Amino acid sequence: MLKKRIIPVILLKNGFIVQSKRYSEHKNLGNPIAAIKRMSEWGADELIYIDISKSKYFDESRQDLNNEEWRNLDDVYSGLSRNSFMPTCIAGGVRKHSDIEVRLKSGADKVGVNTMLFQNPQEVKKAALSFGVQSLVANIDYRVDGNNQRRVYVEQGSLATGLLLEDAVQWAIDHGCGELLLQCIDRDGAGRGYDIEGINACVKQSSVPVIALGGAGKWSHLELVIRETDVSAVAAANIFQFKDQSVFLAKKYLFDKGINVRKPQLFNMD
Amino acid sequence: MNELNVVILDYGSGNVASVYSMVKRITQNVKVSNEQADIEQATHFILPGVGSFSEAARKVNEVLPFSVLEDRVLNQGVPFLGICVGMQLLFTSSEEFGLSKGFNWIEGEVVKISQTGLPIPHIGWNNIINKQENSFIEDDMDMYFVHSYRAQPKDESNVFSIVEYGEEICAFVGKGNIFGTQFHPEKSQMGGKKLISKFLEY
Repeated sequence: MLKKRIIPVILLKNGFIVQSKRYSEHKNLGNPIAAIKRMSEWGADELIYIDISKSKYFDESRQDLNNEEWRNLDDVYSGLSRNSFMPTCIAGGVRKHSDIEVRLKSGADKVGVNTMLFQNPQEVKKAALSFGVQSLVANIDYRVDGNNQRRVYVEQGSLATGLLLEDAVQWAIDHGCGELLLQCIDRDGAGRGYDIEGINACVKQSSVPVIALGGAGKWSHLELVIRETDVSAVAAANIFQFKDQSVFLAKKYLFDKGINVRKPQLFNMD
Repeated sequence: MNELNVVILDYGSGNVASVYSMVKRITQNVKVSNEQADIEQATHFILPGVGSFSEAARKVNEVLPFSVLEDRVLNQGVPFLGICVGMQLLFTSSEEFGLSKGFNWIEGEVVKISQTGLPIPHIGWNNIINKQENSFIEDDMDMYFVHSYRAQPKDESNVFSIVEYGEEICAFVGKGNIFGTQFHPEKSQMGGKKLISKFLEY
């Protein structure tokens, strides 16, 4: 039987891992290559990288942190294939066909598209034909408005598309995305649980796998969204960054509760 | 044991770097190459693959001295491992985008995964059910899958392992010195590393 995937999300800003709260406050948490190794050893089922840098340049003033391993995003991405023996999705800053190609070549299994999916959909479709639908993940960010409508945003949540979530789901599938990563922006960094209602509606509607993101504050939040919906995978960022062996502990919690996850295990790939 | 000389064939598939990193953890004697000289010297071949069958079939014929490779594998018995689309290419043909021809090293077709109400692509970790005892994969080991098409070998004896996903999906095939995995061993952590180690011992 196919297992429910538990996926840590690593947010990168100017070359460092950051913690995010409602897409605005960002706190530096350190070395991205070390994080890949860690997540791999803790038995993560997959890894999602989202680059949220506003500029292309790395913060080179941070010489206090050991960053000899990576000087630019390309270094981070090539560090991926050397150190990650699990599937990896790279998202953020993907605007054109060649951005997708570069990321796949450097070892990513999937590339996440957000703004591009709505502003340049034909290029997404073209990429699906060249690389296969399995290589494209639609990162759909949404907010719940005053009328309890779920509306989609792009440009890191800063630009409203006016689209309803359900229409964006169909749009993404029609343009060749083989998977959907749904993120409720209101819940980003809030730690009060996933948007079960929204996720449930999307999973029912979608013919491709859905990954839920946004709102995990404790392990039981992961359990709840898996029990209440037919989601294929559960992703979280902050909750996996602060605790040693976090992914292992999350999987152990779920496994002990009888949830269909891959057996929790610590790995040493050497 | 003779000195290993692993050649990873590269028709431009995205996962070559990951396969290389995984093999590198097992042996230093590995290179990515499509050169005839390397193909003639190889002790093991790995063909990674991802994406579309027809695109892969077309590129393989473009970049590889295919008749040399075929002679090494079919007549000289050099072990060959195809991964994902690299495994699907071992078969006769695929129904993806009309009908595309494969290598026909193992008889069978590649067909779309049946609509059973489950999401497609089939993405994630699924546990192996061995149909035939083999030294490559332990029963119930989870491996990572990502695909929308599945292989349907004509001869059941070529199917070593399956997984369940609304229907039986062929996960690991073999015929003599030729092997293929629908899943990605290079992304399947320890289980994947073990499978590749076993293949390199063959």
